[in-house]
Amino acid sequence: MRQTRGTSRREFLDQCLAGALVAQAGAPAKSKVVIARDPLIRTSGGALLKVLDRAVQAVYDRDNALEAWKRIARPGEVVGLKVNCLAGRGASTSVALVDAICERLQQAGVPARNIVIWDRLNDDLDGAGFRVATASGKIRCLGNDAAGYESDLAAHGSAASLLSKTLTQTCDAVINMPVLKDHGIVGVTMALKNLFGAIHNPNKYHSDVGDPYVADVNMLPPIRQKVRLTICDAITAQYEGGPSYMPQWGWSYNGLIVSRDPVALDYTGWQIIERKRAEKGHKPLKATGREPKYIATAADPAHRLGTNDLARIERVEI
Amino acid sequence: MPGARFRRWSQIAFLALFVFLLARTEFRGTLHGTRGEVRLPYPVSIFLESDPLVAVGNALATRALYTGLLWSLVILIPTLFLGRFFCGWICPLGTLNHVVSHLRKPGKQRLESNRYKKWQRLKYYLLVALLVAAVLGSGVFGTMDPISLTVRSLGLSILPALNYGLHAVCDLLYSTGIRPLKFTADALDFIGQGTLLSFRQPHFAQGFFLGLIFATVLVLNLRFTRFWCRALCPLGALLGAMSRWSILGLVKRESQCDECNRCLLGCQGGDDPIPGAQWRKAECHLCLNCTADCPDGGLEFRWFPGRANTVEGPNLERRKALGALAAGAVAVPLLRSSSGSDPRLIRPPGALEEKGFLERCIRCGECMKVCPNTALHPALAEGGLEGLWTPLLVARIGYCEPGCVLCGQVCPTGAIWRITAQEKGWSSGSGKPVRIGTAFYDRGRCLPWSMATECIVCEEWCPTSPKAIYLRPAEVTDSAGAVKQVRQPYVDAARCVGCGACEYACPVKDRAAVYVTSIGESRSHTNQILLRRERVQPALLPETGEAAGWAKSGATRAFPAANLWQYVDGDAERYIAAGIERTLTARYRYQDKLDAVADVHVMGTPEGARRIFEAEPATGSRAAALGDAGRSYGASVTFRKGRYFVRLTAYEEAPGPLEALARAIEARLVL
Repeated sequence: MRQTRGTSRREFLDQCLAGALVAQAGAPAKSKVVIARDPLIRTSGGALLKVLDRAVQAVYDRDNALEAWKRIARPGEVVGLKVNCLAGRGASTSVALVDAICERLQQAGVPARNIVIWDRLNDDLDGAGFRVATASGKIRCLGNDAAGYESDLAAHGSAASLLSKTLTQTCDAVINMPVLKDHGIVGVTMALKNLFGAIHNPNKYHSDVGDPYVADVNMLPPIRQKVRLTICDAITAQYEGGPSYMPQWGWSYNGLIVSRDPVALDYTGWQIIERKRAEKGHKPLKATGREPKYIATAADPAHRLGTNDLARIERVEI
Repeated sequence: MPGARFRRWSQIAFLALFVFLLARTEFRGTLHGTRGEVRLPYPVSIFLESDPLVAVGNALATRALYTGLLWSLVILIPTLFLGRFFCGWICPLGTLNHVVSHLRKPGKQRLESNRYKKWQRLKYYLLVALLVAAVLGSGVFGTMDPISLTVRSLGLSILPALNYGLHAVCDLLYSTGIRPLKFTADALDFIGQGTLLSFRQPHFAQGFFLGLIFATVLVLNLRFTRFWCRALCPLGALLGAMSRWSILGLVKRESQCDECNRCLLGCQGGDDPIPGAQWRKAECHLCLNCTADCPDGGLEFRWFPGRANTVEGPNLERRKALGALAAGAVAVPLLRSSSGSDPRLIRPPGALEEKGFLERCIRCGECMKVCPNTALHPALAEGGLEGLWTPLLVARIGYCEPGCVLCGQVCPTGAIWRITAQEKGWSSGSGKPVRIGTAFYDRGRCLPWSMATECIVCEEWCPTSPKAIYLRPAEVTDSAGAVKQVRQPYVDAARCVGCGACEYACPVKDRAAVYVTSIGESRSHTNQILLRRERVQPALLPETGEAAGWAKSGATRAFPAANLWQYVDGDAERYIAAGIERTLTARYRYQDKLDAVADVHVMGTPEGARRIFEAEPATGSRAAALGDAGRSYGASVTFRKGRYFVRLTAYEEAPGPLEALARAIEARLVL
C-alpha cells in the first residue's frame, strides 16, 4: 500500500518550494520609473525639494524621505553627481536641482567632503552655472579635464576608453543626472548617453546612431557597478536640436524622472519626447533616422542593463 | 708589487662602473604612469663628460665649453703630473684591450710586438686631423673617441645581442619543462634584468656593423698588444701629448739589468722600458707591469726622474704632421660635399639646428640607448657622410614619447638641448611645442582613403592636444559598388609635432600609409612648410559696446573641426559633415539682465553654411533680415552669410536685442 501513495510530505514540501521559486523567477520584479511633476518646480525651492523627495521615496518604496535617501549610499561612501553640462545654462542639469540633492544627501549622513559634482570639462560646468571647486572638506565640483583619466583602457564590446579618475578613484557611488532631451545623432540623450561624460573619447561613439556604443560604454565595470540611481532633470526638456541648447525647441516639462533602471528611464523619456515631437508636428525619430536603438541593445541578453519591455516597466506618476 | 695590483683593481672597478652606468642608461618604468619629470637616477654620461678629447674637440668646434664637460679637468689636470694614467687605470676600452691582449701566450711574438713601433705615431696624426676638423666645425672626432666608441658599440650592439642571447637561453631552458632548468631560467632572467639586461629587447640599425667594428678592435689585440690604444686612439694621443710635462717618470738602472726582457713582455703602451732604448713618456700607460715584472728591481717610477734616456713628446715628423693638418682641413669639405638632404632625417626633440648639431654630436649613441621606444637609431648616410652614426628617429620602429626628454638629459655635449617635458609641450597643448617633423598621408595605401575600410588608428595614437590628426566623414564606394561612409584622416600641419606615433601604429605593416618627414622641425628656420604655424584668426565676434547694450562677458573660444566635439559633443558631426573649419564662441550679457551665447561656425564653403541652416526646422520662426538668410525664434537667432553660419541663443525671449547683436556680428563677417 505504501508504494501506491502519491506523494510524501517531504516531496510535497519540496515541490511547493520549487514551485514558489519558479514562480518568483518567472515573474521578475518590474523596473520602477517615477515621473514627478509640479508646475512650481522651476520657481520654488520648496516645491523642487518636495518633488525630489516624493520621487526618491517612490523609487525606494519608503514612507520617510530621509530613509529613502539613506538607501543611495552607505556611510563613508563618496557620492558623485554626474551632471550634464554640455549645453550651457539652457539645457544642462539644473544647479538648483543639484543643490537640493546635495542638501538631502548631507541630511542623510553623507558629509559635504564626500560629495563630488562632476562632468567632462571645467568649462562646461562653469558654463552651466556651477562653481568649480576642488578644496577638500567641502563639496567638490570639477571636470574630468582637471581630475584626469586613467592611463589604461577599459574595454567592452565595441567600446575602449579611458575612464575619468573621478569615477574610478574618487566615487564609490554615482547619481546619474542627465537632462531630458533630443539628440541630433543618437535620438535621445538621458541616463545611458550621459555616461559618455565619463570617458575620454565620446566623439568616437556616435556613428550608427550610437548603437551599440552607448550600451557598451555603460557595460564598463566602474560605470555599471557605481551608478546607483538616475535622476533625470526634465524641468526644461528639448524635443529637437539637441544636445545643444536650442530654446526654440525646448519646453517646460516641470518634472523629474527617477529610476534605478537606466534603460527603463531612457525608454520612458524617449516616449515623452516622441509625444512632444508629434504634438509639435515633427517627424518621429525613426523617420529621421535617429531611432535610439541603443536602448534596446542595452536591454538585450548581452547587456542586461535594464528593461525596455513596457510590460516590465512600472510607470509611477506623481 | 702593489702598484700593478692597484692598477688592476682600478681597471676592474672603472669597467664595472662603466658597464653598470651603460646598462642603466634606460628608463625602467612606465612613462604613462609617471608623474612629473622623467629622470634617470644615475649620472649615466659621466664617462663621456669626463673625456678630455670630447671637451677639447667640443670647445674647438663650438668656440665654447659645454658646462658638463668641465668634468674632463678631473682627467686633464692629473695627466699633466702623472702622464697617461687614464689609459692604464680608467679607460674601459683600454681595459678590454688589455684583457684581450693578455690572452696571448707570453713568447717571442708578444715580446716583439711590445717594442715601440713607428706606426704608434699614427694616432697623433689622426688627432691632428680630427682637431683640425673640429676647428672647422665638425664633431666627427666623436666617431674615433674611445669612450664614445665603447658606449656606441656596447650600447647599440653588444648589450642588445647579449640581451637577446640570454633570453633565448632562458626560453630554451624554460621550454624543457624540467623544474631545475626552469628555476635556472628564472634565476638567470632575474639576475640579468637586475644587472646588464634591458627592460625591453632593443634593436638598432647597423647594430651588426657596430659590433663588427668593435670586435675587430678587440681581435687586433691578439696580434699587437693594445693596438687601438697604441696606434689609433686620439684620446690616447691627446693625453700622450700632454704627458710630456708630467713629473712622474721611469728610471732605468741599467747596471742592475740582466736583459731578460720581462719588462717588455707585459708592457701595455709599447714605450720601450727595456735598457738600451729611450723610454717614451707619451706612450706609457702607467700600467706598472714593467716595474712589477723586473726581477732585479732595475726599473722604478719616480717623481722628477730627469730627462736622460727619455723621449718626452710624440716626436712627430713635420711633413706628416702638416699632411695630417691638411687632411683634416680637406676632410670636412669633402664630407660635406655629400651633405644629407634626406627628408627622413628626423633629429630628436631639442636637437640643435643641423650645423650646430653636427658640431656638438659625438656619435656616442647615449640618446639611442636611453630612448624608451627605441625610436632613435644611428644614421648611415641620411645626414651626409659627416652625419654617420648621429641619431635619427625611425618612426616605423618607435615613436618619440610625448612626456620623455631623456635623450636631452643624457646627451653629454648639448647637441640635444636639455628641455623639460613642459618645454617639449606635446601633451600640455600650451605654449610653442618643440616639433621634429610633420606627418603626411600616402592616400594610395591608407585604408579609408583607398580601400573603403574604416580605420582611425593614427588619430587614436596622435598624442598632441588638440590632436593634429583629424577625421572627416566621407562617402566611398567599395569593390562591390556599395556606398558606405568612412572617416578619412587628415593632418593639421599647424599642430603636428612629428612624433611619429601615427607612422608607428599604422596597421599597414610593411610601409606605413602615414609617414613623418623632417619638414616643420622647430630647429630649422628654412625647413618649414607653413609660413606661420598659428594662423592669425580675424576677430569675428564683436567687443563690448559694438551692439547697443551688449557686453562681452568672456574671451572668445575657438574650436577647430577636429575638436569641435569638445564644445558640442554629439552635435559636432553634422557640422563636420558639412565641412566646418572651426567654431568661435563667446558669451554676452545684455544690460546686466539677459545672457546669451554667440557661435560663429566657419564652414569651408557657403554651401556648407547653407546646408546647416536649411537642415534646421523653421517651424516657430520668422524671417530675419540678416546675412544671406536669417531666422528669429524668439530666444534664438540663426543666420548664414557666405561660409559663415551664426547662432545666438539667449536664456529668455528677447528678439530685438538678439537681432541687434546678430547685426554687429554680421558686420564683422567679411566674405
